[in-house]
Amino acid sequence: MNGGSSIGKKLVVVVMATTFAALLVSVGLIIGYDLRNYHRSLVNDMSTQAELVGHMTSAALAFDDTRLAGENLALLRTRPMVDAAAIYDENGRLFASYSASKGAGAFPARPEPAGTRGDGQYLSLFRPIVENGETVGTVWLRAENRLLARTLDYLAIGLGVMLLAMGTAYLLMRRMGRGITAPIVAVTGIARDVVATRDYSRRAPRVGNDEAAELADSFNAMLTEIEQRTRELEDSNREIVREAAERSRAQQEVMRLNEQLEHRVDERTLQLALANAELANAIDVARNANQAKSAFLSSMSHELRTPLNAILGFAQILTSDSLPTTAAQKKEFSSHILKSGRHLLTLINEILDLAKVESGTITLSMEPVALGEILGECRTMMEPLAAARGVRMLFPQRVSAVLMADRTRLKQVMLNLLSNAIKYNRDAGAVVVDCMPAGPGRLRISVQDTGMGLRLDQVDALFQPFNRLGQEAGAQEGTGIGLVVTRRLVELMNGTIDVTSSPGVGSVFTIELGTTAPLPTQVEGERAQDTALAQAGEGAPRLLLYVEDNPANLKLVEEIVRFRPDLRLMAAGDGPRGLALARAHHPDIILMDLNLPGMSGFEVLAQLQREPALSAIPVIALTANAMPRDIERGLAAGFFRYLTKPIDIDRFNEAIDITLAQLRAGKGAVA
Amino acid sequence: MGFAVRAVRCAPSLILALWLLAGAACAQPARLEVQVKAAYLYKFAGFVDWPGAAFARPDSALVIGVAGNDELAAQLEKVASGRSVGGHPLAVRRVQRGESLAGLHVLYAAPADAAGTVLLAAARGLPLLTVGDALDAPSAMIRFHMVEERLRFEVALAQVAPSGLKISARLLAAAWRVTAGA
Repeated sequence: MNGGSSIGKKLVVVVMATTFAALLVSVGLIIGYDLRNYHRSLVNDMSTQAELVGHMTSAALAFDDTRLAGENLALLRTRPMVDAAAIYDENGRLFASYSASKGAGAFPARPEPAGTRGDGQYLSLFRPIVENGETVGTVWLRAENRLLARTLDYLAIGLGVMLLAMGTAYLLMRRMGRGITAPIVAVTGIARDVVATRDYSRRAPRVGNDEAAELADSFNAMLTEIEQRTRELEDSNREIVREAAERSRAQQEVMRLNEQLEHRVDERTLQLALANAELANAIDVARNANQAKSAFLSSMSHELRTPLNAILGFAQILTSDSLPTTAAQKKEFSSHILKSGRHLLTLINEILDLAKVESGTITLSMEPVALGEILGECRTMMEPLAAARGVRMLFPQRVSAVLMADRTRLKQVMLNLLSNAIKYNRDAGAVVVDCMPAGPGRLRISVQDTGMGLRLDQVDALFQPFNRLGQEAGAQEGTGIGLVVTRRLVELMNGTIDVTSSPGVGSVFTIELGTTAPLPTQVEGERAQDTALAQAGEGAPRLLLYVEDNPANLKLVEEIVRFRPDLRLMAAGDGPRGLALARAHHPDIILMDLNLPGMSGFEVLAQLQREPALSAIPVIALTANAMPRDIERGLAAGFFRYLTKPIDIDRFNEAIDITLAQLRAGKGAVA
Repeated sequence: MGFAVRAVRCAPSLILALWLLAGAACAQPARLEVQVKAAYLYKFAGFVDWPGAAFARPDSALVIGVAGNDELAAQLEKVASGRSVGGHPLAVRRVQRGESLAGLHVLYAAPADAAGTVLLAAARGLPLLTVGDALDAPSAMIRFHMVEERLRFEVALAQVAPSGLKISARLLAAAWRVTAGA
């Protein structure tokens, strides 16, 4: 309200000042103009009067008629303004006089030069009377000068007018100014309220259609804008608060997750530490294994060289001309060579077994196997060795259990365990084999020896590869591979192997395998009879084509075939030559080396099969590729039989006989 | 100072006035009368309008004829010399009996002179202001009287009317008597 009345006051002051100034100027001008006019008209009037009187009086002067002059002057009575008058003749003597009231004061003694003289209270005027160009006298008039009084009157009137006008202006201003200030005051009030209460929904009233109304409109628009902005700001603030809450919630969640994470990290760290420890352990194990492997390699080198030494040495003696030998000596040396070669073959087979086991490529054919049968075979095979060491072997009687196992591998396992028990036994010791059920569907077989036993740390390292457990420098020949292979084979047959030992007393190796229902089958020996039957061949020798690039192998086969009168050998050094011979002579049987220079045995076979005249000839592979996979591949490719080097003469002959029997049967069928 | 200057400037006329007063006081009554009459004759001309035909030219002389009074004529010549009325220089002519009145504008006929009466009669109807003494010239337009030892005059409007002259009201106001009839 203070500001509003201030504008009102200012407005009033401005209007009053303007009014005052206008009035002052106008009243002043009017008064000045009027006073000037008054004075001028007074002077003019007096001049006129003087002229008139002079004109009228000129005759009286001319004819020296003072009475007439006096009468003329007396006419001035009609002019109350004129206070006194006088006429002087041409000589300056007072000729006639007039005074409006008694004692109006003295007349000038002598006429003075023409002109107007004012002495404040009175205005006097001398005027010469001219007749016919001659000055015949002078008129003197005196009038009351009312200029001052008139001025005072005017001032009083001006003051009154001013007071009245300013009062009116003030009242008008009070009434009309409200129309101007009210909207502004309203806007100011709303603005103050809005600032005080922050209520932006208030609106200033629109009054009239002038700038104040525009101000109100603009103010309202501004308020609308502010209101909207404020709302947006509040919304955004709320949003921010909400987001902050969410963020804090998320932060708590993150912290919680962090704690979990830390917990997990701790766990993982622990696991890692454990894993590291295991790894370190494993590294130790691996290092140990590596060391064992290195030791094994040197040992293996030694083991492989030892039989080679015997073979090569005796072979040199036999082939030397400078060392003549008797027939008995020759036979003895040859038996040494044969024995050493067989040992070497055993070594190589074991190494290959280990390699297969380690690489996991071994395949088992699980079938019901009669344990008693296996034990019987093993006993037969081990008897000579045991007898040589003076070791007694005790086997359980009437074993009827049937195991679910690979027959060959089970036998291998049992042979390995038994040979170990014999090898590492003391002289005149004993080996006890026993078997007993261990839970439903399981059978436990134990092999107990009376050897020097094993220390605890030796037991732990027992099933590691290439470990011969203190027997590295022992007299017993061995590879250190047997137990590792054994264990893997048992595990592959879903079994377990265990060992308990007491140093100085002996060790017990126990394997546990799954059993199955007894399935006693006794079908054997038929094939043997067949082969025996097949021995009886006809007179005409069969043509055998041998494709082989190695002359030593060719010589060996030549020597073997020489003992068979029913065969005639033909040889080719490579594939193409072999094919040419086959086309030319149509052999009954073809022996094929696989690793031939240029054209491989498989390619030669494929070519033979493509040619109808040759496709019927049975082809027998004879190769050093002894891996089961190679064998499978060879049989799949169409080889009739697959023989591996080194040649086992009995197996070679068997394969030849079977093929010949096949040929005869086929020929019979055709015939 | 201003007053002193004004006093000095007024001095010559003051001296002249004093001299005139002294002269008048010393003069004999008859002589004074002639002087006043001469002045009046001259002054009358100023209050009378002549018809336009009375003057040949605008600056033609206004001729005052004096008959039978040489003293007056002389006095009048003295007064009129160098003066003019309404732009007309004053001229004085002594008029003898039987002399033509043409060219005269004012005619003073002395009293006790028959010739004067004849002249006045001749002047009747002419644009000629006739002046005479009351006792001697009853037909004159303006007649002098001595009233209370002062020379006054009467205007006979009946005499004026045929002449075509116009006599100013101020002259009439200054007259001792204005008579409408003969």
